[in-house]
Amino acid sequence: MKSSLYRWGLVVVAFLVALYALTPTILDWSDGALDGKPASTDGVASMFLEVDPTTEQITWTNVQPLTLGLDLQGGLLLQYHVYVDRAVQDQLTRMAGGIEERLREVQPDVQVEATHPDGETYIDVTLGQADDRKLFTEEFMSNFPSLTRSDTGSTTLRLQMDPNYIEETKEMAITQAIEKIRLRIDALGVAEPSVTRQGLSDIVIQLPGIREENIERAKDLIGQTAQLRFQMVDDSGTNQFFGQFRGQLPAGFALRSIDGGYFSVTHQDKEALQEFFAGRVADDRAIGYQFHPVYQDREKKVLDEEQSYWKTYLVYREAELTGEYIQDARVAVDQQFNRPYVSLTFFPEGAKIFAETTTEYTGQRFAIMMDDEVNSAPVINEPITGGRAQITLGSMQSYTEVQQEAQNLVIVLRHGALPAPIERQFETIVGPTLGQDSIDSSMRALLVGSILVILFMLIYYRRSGVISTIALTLNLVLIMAGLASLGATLTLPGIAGIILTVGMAVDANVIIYERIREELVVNQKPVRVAVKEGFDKAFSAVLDANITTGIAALVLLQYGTGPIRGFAITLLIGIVSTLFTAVYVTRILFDDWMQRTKSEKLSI
Amino acid sequence: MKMLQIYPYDAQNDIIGKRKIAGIVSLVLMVASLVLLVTVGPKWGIDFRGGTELIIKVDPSVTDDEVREAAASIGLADATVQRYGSEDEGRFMVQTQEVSVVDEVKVAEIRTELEALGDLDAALWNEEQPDRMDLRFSQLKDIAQIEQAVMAAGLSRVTVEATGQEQEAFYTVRFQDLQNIIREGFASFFGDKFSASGGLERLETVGPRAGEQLRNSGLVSIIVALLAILIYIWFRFDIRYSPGAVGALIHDVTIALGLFVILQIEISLPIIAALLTIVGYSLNDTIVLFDRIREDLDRAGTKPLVQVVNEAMNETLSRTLITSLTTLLAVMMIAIIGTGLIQDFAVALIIGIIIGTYSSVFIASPLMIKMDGYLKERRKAQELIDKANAADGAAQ
Repeated sequence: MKSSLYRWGLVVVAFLVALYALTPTILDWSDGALDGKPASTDGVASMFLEVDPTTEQITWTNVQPLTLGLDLQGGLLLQYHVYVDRAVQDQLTRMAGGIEERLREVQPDVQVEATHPDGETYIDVTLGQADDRKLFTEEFMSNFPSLTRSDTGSTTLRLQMDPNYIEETKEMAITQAIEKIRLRIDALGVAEPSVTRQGLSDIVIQLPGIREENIERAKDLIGQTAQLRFQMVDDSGTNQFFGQFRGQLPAGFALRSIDGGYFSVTHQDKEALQEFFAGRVADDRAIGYQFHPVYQDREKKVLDEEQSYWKTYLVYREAELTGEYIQDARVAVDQQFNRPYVSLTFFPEGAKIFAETTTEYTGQRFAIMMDDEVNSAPVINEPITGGRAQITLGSMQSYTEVQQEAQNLVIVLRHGALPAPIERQFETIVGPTLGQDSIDSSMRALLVGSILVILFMLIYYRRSGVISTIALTLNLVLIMAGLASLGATLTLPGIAGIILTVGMAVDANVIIYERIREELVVNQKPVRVAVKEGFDKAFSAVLDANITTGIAALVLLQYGTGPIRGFAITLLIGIVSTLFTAVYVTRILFDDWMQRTKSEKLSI
Repeated sequence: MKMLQIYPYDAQNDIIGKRKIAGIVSLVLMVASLVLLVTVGPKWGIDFRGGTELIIKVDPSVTDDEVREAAASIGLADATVQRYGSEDEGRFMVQTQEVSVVDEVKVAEIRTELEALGDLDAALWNEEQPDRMDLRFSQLKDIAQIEQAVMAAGLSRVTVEATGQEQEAFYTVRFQDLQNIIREGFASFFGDKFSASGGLERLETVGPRAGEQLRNSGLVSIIVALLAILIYIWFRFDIRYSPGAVGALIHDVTIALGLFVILQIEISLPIIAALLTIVGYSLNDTIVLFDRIREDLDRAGTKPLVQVVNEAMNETLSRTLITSLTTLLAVMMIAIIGTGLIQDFAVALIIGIIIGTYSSVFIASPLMIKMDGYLKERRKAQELIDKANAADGAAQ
């Protein structure tokens, strides 16, 4: 009896945990729609969610309610392929050009041809004279830190790109693309957009519940390529310009003094700032916006949303330089102060422009901008003429933060204006009505199917059928709870997966019951022995059957895309809960029944 | 004790004796399926073929021909239109190979028009970003002029913008994308009959390269799954069982695909999932039977294998029938109540359940007997050779 209590304990715990995981879903469902907004936010619900008092935005704490997939609630699904190899190839082509021009700078009459065969990861250089090889000094090669030189002939040499650098370039192309798309989508204001990486070089974008008029805008925004620009900050005009708004700023706006005494107008919202400055800026000036994060917990990167703000810069509208002139950007570490910084290399033409600009504007700030956002605005300390520049970053931060910031800046600098090309692969728009129809019909199918199966089990196995019904119900609860706690979304194939699992759970019971019956009828065993042997002998069949299906599900999870993965995940959760309910729970129910009954007959 | 019985527990029918006939039937079906797959070929869904597929909901009074007409008016010359769901729903599925407004032929036309403007250095376009074209002139051009030239090639709704630095004659032409044209085209053709009834319900575009990639990964997933299962069975049972299990699966997948061709079921991603479910299901059956054969063999003594297998079949047949029945009940409901995609999925499963149940009895076990026979023969032969070698050795 004691062991029975122990065994029941596990079932009760599993049930309670499942119930806890499902509570947000039940709350959300209480008004008939799985939309993340429950009918009431008081009482039990208040334990699971937080309501933002100003925006009435609901955030679920700890456990999330089950969400519906795009196919069920409607929305826009896009998949892009990022041509990462192209990013590498572009870089090599640009470097080949850079090598030629730089050599001519050193020795104007040099005969040189640097070519980059398509698809390869090296640059072949052919020189007019063998003697010219001495031009490839260590100092010269330091302009191209990612290339390794090897001589292939008296007048030819090959520069091989570092494999690590190739991988890095590819990774960056994707990270950058995802980052950029995410930023652009945020501007749309769609609830719960998701931008995720799939496989090596695909990006999946899901915009549930997007309004039809916004679809085109979303696609335009995503397809756009970012333009990186270097614009001078109007240092002398800044204080006068922003100062004129002193005392006239609406609530929420503030005039602050930043970056060594320059004025800046700040606000929590970039849009509010944009709206305020519209029409107030001279034609040849523009406003650059920069986000200033304030952390509640620096280590964990918890943003203090209340305190963080956007600040403004007054910049010249005309760009001095664009990202196209950048040949390479890398994170380097200053040996003397042990601080990371960003090292930039320009193409010769860019180097010339950059030298002129920095000579003219020494002591002033220039802003590195993407669209209208300022990435950073360092001061030009001295004229930079070597075609290489260093960008030092904020000095008040920790090493890792600076490292992180430098890394981000490098991503922007490298691919800001020249990202790897992306290709739209899929594009699916699901209208809300089709979604509603399919969820209704599949739910109805699930319900009717389950009822029919249960009816069959009750008629065929009578009292034992009741036991399997209990196990089956618990099984469904566990599957739903599993999905909810994994944060999975409920999709059509997912529902199909649940239906299949129900079938397999019933099968497990059938295998066991048939075996028990066989022991009773054919081998004439007493009831208790028959039950025990039935369970024991059927176990290996049930286990192997579920494992092999599990193998198929794992393969699907590995190779499948979007909806198929949903099916596989549901199947995997289903297999675990089926083994638990159909074997373990059913067994306990039978054992208890056997202990209580004196009858030598079994209702099976 | 009274109980309902679907198949008597102590039955001793000669099931295995039918294996010759069953084998011939299966072989004929498999060959027929293969012939169908090679000649007619499966009907690839949009997921695998590339193209655009949409489902629209219009007023129930709209006929197929009207939808076809609408598609043609938008410029979808190759569009196929079919009803989706029952007649009073007013749903139609339209499919076309097109994925973008502009293709290579169109680009050539545009290029000719642009060259007429003079000073054209380059007009870049590629399939990866079919909605835009980058132009470079040696002289600055008027944007309206470029716009006109592009439109002269028969395109509507084009925007042109200058993208270079000052004094650089770089321009980007953006074409209206196909999805927009479709959406707006149907809306204007049907007017209230479109928007008031629900309008566009689903619009999906798959690039041709993506389709190929998906087809390959679908194929890979099936092959990998089969191999993994083969290895698992080898490990859990023994080598004798592996060819039977996998042979049955290949049998199921081939015949199921053949039936898909006949039933005109499109091979889409969910159908691949259904195929894998069939694999899992059929395997489930096979393993239950194998498990029983393994158990019976342990205490069979000198009983011939064929007899043991036949007994195991008789013992497990009632379970096999009941499970197939209950699963069919559940899946039938989806086939009847469900709509569209999930319905196809259910039909695929029904086919799979029937074939899978049959194959575990009539394909998997006979193959297992064959494999056992083959291994015994080989062992005997090896023994003879060993004996001969030993005799040779002794003679010398």
